[in-house]
Amino acid sequence: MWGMNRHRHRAGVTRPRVIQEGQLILSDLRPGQKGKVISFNGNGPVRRRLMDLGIRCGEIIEMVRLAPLNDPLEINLNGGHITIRRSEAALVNVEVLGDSQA
Amino acid sequence: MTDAKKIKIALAGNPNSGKTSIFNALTGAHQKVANFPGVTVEKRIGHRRFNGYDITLVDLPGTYSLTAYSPDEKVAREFILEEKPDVVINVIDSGSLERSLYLTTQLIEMGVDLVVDLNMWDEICEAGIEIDVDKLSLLLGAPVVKTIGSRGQGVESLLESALVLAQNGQKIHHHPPVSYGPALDDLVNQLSGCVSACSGCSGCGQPRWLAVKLLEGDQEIKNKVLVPGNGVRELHETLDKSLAHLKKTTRDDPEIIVSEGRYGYVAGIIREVLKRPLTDRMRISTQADNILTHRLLGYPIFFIIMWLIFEATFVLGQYPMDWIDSGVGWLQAAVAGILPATIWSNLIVDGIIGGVGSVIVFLPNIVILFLGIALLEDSGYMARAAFLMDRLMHFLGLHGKSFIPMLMGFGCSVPGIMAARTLESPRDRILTILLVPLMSCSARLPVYLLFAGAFFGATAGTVIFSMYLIGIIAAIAMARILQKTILPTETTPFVMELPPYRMPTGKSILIHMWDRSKLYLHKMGGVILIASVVLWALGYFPRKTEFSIAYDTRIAQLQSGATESGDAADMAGEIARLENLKSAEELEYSYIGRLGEAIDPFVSPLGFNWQMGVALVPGFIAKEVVVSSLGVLYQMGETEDIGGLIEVLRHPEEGITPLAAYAYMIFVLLYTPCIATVVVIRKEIGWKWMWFSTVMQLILAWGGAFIIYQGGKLLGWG
Repeated sequence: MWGMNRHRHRAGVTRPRVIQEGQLILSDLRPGQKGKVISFNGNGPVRRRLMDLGIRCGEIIEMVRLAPLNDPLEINLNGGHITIRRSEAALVNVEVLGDSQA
Repeated sequence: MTDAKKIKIALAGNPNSGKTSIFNALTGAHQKVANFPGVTVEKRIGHRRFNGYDITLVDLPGTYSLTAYSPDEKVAREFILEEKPDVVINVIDSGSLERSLYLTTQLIEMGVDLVVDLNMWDEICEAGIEIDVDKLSLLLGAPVVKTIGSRGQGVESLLESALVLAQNGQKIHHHPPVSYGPALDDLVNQLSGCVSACSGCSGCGQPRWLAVKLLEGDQEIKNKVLVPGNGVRELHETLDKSLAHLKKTTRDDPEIIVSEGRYGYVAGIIREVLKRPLTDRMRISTQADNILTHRLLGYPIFFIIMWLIFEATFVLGQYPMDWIDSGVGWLQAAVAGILPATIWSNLIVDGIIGGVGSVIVFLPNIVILFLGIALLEDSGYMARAAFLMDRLMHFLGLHGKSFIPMLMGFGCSVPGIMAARTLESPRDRILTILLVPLMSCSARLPVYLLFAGAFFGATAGTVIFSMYLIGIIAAIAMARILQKTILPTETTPFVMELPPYRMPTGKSILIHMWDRSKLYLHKMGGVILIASVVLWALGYFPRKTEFSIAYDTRIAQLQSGATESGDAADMAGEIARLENLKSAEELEYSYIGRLGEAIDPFVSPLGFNWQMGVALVPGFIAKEVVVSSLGVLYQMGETEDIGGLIEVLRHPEEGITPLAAYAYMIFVLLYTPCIATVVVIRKEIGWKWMWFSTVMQLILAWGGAFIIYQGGKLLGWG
């Protein structure tokens, strides 16, 4: 499963993968952009941990910044900041929110 | 007072909830650190007398949940289930109420007597966040207390609430059941009915909680509950039916569905009790991070901070270390002057006093390093350090936080290995600890200085630098190999909080430093001392009585001036020469010397002569002892001045080539860490890994030196 995630993550790095119009994986959000969590790619321990930290469907996540080497990422969830590896963020599908909605 | 009633209170809460500051405020310095049985998870226990009660406080590891997946969560859960504390205080960071209540609901379901502690109350007041405490208490069915742990405010009322609860138990509070929404609640209710009726389940915990865990597919609870007995068949059937139903109606894992339900319940509470303004409580922290984790400035600032801690630990720490050194030296001389020269005086002076010295000499390093680490952790910068370094350390299969122990390894492996305690995952800790000794510590430098000085002249600096580089390369290689073999990359997620920056408090930092120093002296000091005495004995016995020359007689003759006299200076020189010859013969004759000679066949393919081989054995005491042992073996005495030794080594008669010298430096870099390091590894991660580390490094050292020496000879460099 881990290997699979890694694979996804690599695919995600090369080009933003558009799942549907206006949808991205969390790792492809640009700093400052906000997205609403709509679904997850897969289950397992990482998903569970995301859940523990409150990353679940319907939540709004803001990409705060990337680490200097572009991995991990810093996100803002309900005012709390969380750091997450790119490969982990690739599990989360988000719907990009326009600035007006934010 | 013997009539004091005993009460056990456990502290549970998320990481970064300020649980430790509450614990410190409650217990002061009356605490000790141990490990939970069988795992490398720290258990902090403290005591407090309060209103005639004798209270034992246990600080459980910080967790977000109570599943059986991570050792931390397992330990916390087992403690609550098995040890049944009278009261659990749930410490909550008031600023992240929603996430915290996720754990709270699980504690409620487990049926513990709960006091909810809204910690860091001052922060939400400043941020303008409002929490309706009375309503929260009503909804949770538990007393709620506001505290400011860093200032110790509110901890008395926390204890009072806990005592009231311990006396009256569930009678005064009723926890409304956690609701997962109508669909799931039905399943939970059915299952919980079956659990109550099932004989195997009695005593395992609250039926409702067990039912939820069974739905989640918690393997440990399954093993515990689904044992042969009355009603277990019904339970099995109901469980299978419920799971099949869930599978039909949703596409998520049951675990996730339960989780969602729990969050739904928490969200309901939050709506009723929390008023959040639009301001971001992370505003100041975010501004600070704009600089501290900036794309360009982040690394330079990080390295400056690391450099400061490193310098403070090892350069500033050098002063007290020198004082300890000279103090021990003075004491040794004083005792040697008082006692008559026998085996016993030698044991006391060189064995025991020397051994104690070798234990406390690390103390300044440990105190200063853990001061630095406490500052990093309490201020919130440690999480940023992990954020910055994770990409690089992840390449080695490690966590961003592994960087600090590795860096400290360049100063000394002992504090470096202890610093690995900041890592939560046991697997990351083991891998980090195995790699730390490969970082070239400062005790190896004197050996490099000697051999590079003797054989590489102008390029000595580059040669020494290459040692540090080779250590890092060896660590990378080892990490890659271990990761592919016995320590596979875990699926443990990296995801973690970046807490807001906070001003560390003096008290918590002092307690942290005190903890570590006590831990070191208490748990490791004794073993290091014993090991030092054993090593002393191996170097002292068996006593040689017959020497090639009757040194003592000659020296006595010289001293009494009974021989044909030269001038006084000549005579003193002659005495020193004879004493050096004598100690060289003694060392050769001792067990250590014999062991050294026994390993000669193993080290001669590496181009080492017998003196170099023998000197490696006492190098196990501390790697810089290689130099003083060579001094003794070359009849120079334990000289501080390596100039003379350099001359001797360089002498063509010795047959040491620069290639062999380089191979020797590689060997000293990589071989078995010193006794103190080995003891600390044993204490931190156990016998198995201690042996693994020792043998692995011996193989690494021999292999490395062999490749360099024989390969170099093939290429015609020898």
